Amino acid sequence: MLGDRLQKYEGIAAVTGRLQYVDDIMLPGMLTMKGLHSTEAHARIRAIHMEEALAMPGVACILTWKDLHQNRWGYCGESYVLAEDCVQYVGQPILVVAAVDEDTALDAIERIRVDYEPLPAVFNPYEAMKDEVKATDKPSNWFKFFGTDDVRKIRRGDIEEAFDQSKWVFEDEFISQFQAHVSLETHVAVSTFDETGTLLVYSCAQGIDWVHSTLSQTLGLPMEAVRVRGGLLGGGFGGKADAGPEVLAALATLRTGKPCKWRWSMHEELRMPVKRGAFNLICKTGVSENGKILARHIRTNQDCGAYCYRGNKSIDRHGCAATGPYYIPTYWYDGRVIHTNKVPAAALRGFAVPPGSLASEVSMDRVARRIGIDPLKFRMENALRDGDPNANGQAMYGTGIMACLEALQPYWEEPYERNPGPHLFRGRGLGTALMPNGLTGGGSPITGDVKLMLNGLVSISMGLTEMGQGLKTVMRQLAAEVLALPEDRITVLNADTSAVPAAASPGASQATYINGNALLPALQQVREMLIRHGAEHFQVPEDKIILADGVISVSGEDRSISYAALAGLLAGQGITLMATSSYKSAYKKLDENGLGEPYEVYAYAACMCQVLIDEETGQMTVERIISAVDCGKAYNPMMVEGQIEGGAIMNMGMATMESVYPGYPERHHMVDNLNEYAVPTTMDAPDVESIIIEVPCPTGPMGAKGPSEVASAMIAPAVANAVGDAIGIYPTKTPITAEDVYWLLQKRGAEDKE
Amino acid sequence: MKTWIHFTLNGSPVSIETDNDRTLLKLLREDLHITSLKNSCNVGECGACTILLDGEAVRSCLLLAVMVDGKRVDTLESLGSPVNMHPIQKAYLEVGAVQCGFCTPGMILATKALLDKNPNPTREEARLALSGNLCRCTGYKKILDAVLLAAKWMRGED
Ligand code: FES
Ligand code: FES
Repeated sequence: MLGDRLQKYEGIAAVTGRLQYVDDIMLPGMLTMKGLHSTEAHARIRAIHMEEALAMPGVACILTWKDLHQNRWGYCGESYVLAEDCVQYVGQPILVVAAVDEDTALDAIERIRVDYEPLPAVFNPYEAMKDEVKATDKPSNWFKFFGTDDVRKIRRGDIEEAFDQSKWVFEDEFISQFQAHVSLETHVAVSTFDETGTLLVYSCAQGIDWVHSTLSQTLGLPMEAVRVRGGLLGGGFGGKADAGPEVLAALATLRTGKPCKWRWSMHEELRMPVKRGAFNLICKTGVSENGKILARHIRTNQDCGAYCYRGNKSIDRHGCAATGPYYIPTYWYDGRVIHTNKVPAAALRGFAVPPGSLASEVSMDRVARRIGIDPLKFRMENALRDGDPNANGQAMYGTGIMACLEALQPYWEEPYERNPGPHLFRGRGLGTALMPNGLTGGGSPITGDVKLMLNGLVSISMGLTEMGQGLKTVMRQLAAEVLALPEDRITVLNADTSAVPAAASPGASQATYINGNALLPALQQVREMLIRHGAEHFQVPEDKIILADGVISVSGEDRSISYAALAGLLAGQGITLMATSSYKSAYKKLDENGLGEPYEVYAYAACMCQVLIDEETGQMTVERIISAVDCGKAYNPMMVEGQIEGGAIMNMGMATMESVYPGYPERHHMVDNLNEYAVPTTMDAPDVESIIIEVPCPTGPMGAKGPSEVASAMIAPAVANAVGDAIGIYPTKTPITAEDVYWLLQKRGAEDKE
Repeated sequence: MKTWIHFTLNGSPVSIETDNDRTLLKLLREDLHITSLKNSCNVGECGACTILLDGEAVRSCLLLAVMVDGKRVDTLESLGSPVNMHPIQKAYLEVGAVQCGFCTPGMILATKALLDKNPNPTREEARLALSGNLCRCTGYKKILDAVLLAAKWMRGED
């Protein structure tokens, strides 16, 4: 039932090692694939010498872009499956080899020689903005949205006038890094033929329907000639939103007639698309005499690497969320995307929101301290309330930010020792986030099917993919609640393009919200059918019928019939209890001023972090994270906590250690493997204290919305603010490493002397 | 170069001829089809490939298969099946310590190695024992909860 701490649907299989991930599929005669990746950041490919590799025994085929029906793909049409005559980032795949085993494939790769003619490359986004050195073959490094336009804008109110009226105006510049998902399961695909002879691809993508259409386009096959199965991911976090190895695995199978597997090593995974791109943003805020924010202007340049995967989607989302969960009467936004010779960027948990939260929240703290208001009070003063407009002028409802901030108050007010030892300084910081749920433009419609089977089980099928977050589990809970039967009698079909309804990717925190909204009407229809047919069966009015525990009974009498028995009786009359329904979220297209209703619903969260800093070394320990997250309605509090805790630690990684290009934006050095790309371990992660806030979401299924990304996006700024509190100087870039803290301390020392 | 090796795998004897440079991870997954252990980083950083070697939690991607000759290797399959779960497995389920599940086999084996040696660990001892096992989904809190709950159950306390 809703609200229970129900165990994970696939849990028993998981803890006994019986879950079969894509890499665990081993088929007889299966070929192993390996990619050859560019070692150059920008170069023309003069020639590829692969004669020796082709002649090797055990090499089944070598595929280049010429073998594809269509090589360009993706939302912006910018991405290449394989490089053509140019490479534009280190790691870009150029060709793949399929061979009898891994050693042979690696051997073949080693014998292939690529003849590069190096071209000037640009890594630093500030250099790229000058547009002198071109990162790609396009005329400008600035990405063009819809033709010629290279900026996405929001213009709400007269910004100059609002800054003039402000008592204080603050301006700060922030920069974030390239962050990798590091799903422990790297990208992997297996392709073969199914029992009907149809090409079958096992995928670990978040949205197998996107993979399905990409396969059809790039291979030039009708949709019915390809089947994709998935639904078991060893982590996604946005990195598996689109097709990865599927296309070439499928092509290798078509070429050789054999099952093929392409798994990326962690080294390759870190170098291959996509990552969260870096953001450089300038945040200018005007505040009135009495501590009310009057205006904000955000100017953002997103470094998206060589190709833009998501175009306006990420930059619009960023502009919408960079207000933070505050009422800001006048808001301007200018968002641009810049190309550099780095790995292409797209979504990572929270998409483009965390860098916006970083700027917004660190600004909030600096402003509050400079004008002498308590940072929590300053946030409460300016928090969004029902009916207030957001960045795009959309009226907000179900605004839980105030409840989140209030929940933090007792923790914020707890006394703590600021200087617990020699050289040790402790600080506390707040962070908040506002997170649009769902995709811009409403996303594609999603369908849910519900059917009572003769054995008394209810089968639900849904398009959105389970990605480890527990979507199937919470959908069972929703079905159990509506249909009044135990969860173990509900089975969930998911992620098979030949069997379940199509849907987009479970990105953008939309899974519970959209899938729930898609399923709920069908569940309610089946419930009504149970009542109606139950009433007919017992010859009583419908209001006498009680549904409980999979049994229909008559109120006040001891007559009853199980769902299974009723289904059997009805089947004899040719009736099946089933229903289908679908959902597409509403939106109002943005006008030329960026005003409209870009997303249907927004989630809110606030947190407090406490850090301890060793002044001698700059070493930082995150000691506490307390997160208050408004998820509308927690179907499964245990899983919501899981999202809050996991999201917090992932973003703490962004705050303190993770970077694909350490030294960004200065140096070009790319991490090799997890030995260089550090992610938080048990020793780094504090025990996150979660507080679940339930402010019902008016349009949510039973009031729910998605908690996962919003819980993540607020942590980095809270860590930065805690550092600022501890040492009196605020970091404005992520990650904040010990070295950065050390230099901040030196800078403070220098300022003190002045 | 190939060598014949003989070892005990989950209680049963195994004899197999293997390349001298083959890692234990590959031998177990690809030759013996034990897929509960996972390949992730393949360089000893993540712990997804953890196995028990004579009861010690070790990373199979860093070991050559020939090094286990004459030893006892246990994988998650040795603990319990869906009809007969080990208390550690039950504890992971009970507290919600499993999200995507990819780190879970390694985590459970690292937990087993810890609890066999130290039936009553503190939270900090558990933290240290699992510090070589990455989890990207859970943030570790519920995993540590599971370790302590399993310890309690295994000591016979409720
Ligand atoms: S795969 Fe062995 S430690 Fe990562
Ligand atoms: S549950 Fe996904 S990595 Fe741990």
